[in-house]
Amino acid sequence: MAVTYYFAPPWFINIGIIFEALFAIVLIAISITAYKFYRVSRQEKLKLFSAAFGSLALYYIIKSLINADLLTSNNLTRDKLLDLGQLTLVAHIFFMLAGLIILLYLSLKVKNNRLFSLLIIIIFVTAFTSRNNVIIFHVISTILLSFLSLHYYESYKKKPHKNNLIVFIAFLLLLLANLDFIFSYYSPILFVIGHFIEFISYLLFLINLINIFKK
Amino acid sequence: MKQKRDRLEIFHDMLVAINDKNGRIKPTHLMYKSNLSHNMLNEYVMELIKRKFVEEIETPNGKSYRITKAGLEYIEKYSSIIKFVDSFGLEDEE
Repeated sequence: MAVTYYFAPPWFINIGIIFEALFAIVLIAISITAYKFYRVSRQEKLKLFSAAFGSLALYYIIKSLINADLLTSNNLTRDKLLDLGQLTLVAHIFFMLAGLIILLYLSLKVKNNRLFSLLIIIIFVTAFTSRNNVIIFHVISTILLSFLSLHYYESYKKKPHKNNLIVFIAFLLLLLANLDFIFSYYSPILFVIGHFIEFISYLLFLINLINIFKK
Repeated sequence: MKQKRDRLEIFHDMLVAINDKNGRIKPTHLMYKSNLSHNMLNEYVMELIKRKFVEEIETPNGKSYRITKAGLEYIEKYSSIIKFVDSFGLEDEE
């Protein structure tokens, strides 16, 4: 598998790890809440939703652990760096895309499972075999997030509540962050900007979660 | 005009109706209290039993439905569940 490696600016690596750990905490909180609500309501969609956010959390956990490992390794050989890079990429591609695909499955209310399976296979094969994995991964994520943002916009139009607006904006920001990451290959500062956009997005998800439990 | 009720809301209304009757209700009363047709009532009751929110009991006066601990927990958490489901666009299509 041919891969493209890119790195954040050196001064940002520590901050990036903290950001990714925070994103993972927010995603785990949402995933656990969804699972708890599934246990109470037995609503199958909540179980899938929990799996989707759990998968997205795993993406950030693995990413931050590997980045932390890269940072603390003193005698890092080129081979180890390549192995870790490869592992990060596989984790990126698998867990992030899996999470987004489950969310899309829920939002599109897919009736034809065979057609949806075909789309999943096409997405994973393209992402794993592409020469420029990171860019292709962000392009595919951007496409999936466009559909998700549209779904959440429609959801907000249907029920114009504050929480629906917060979730729509959060997904829209994730879309913008991924769009930004496509071009971060050319400029490291875009990588930093993308993380800040993601940070605002996950902050909004957290605010929504807090609002849910407010009396 | 009030929007069409979704499944979670109907489950809630039915469970509240049972709970208001000291946790036990006859099918006819439940049908009127939850504003459902006979066919719809059967469909939703089957679903409530499947989810272990209610149980069917035989009494000398005929069939009744009794709310379970899981059903009471659903009533208690309903407000948060509905906010979660609505904000994340997970409601059922009617």
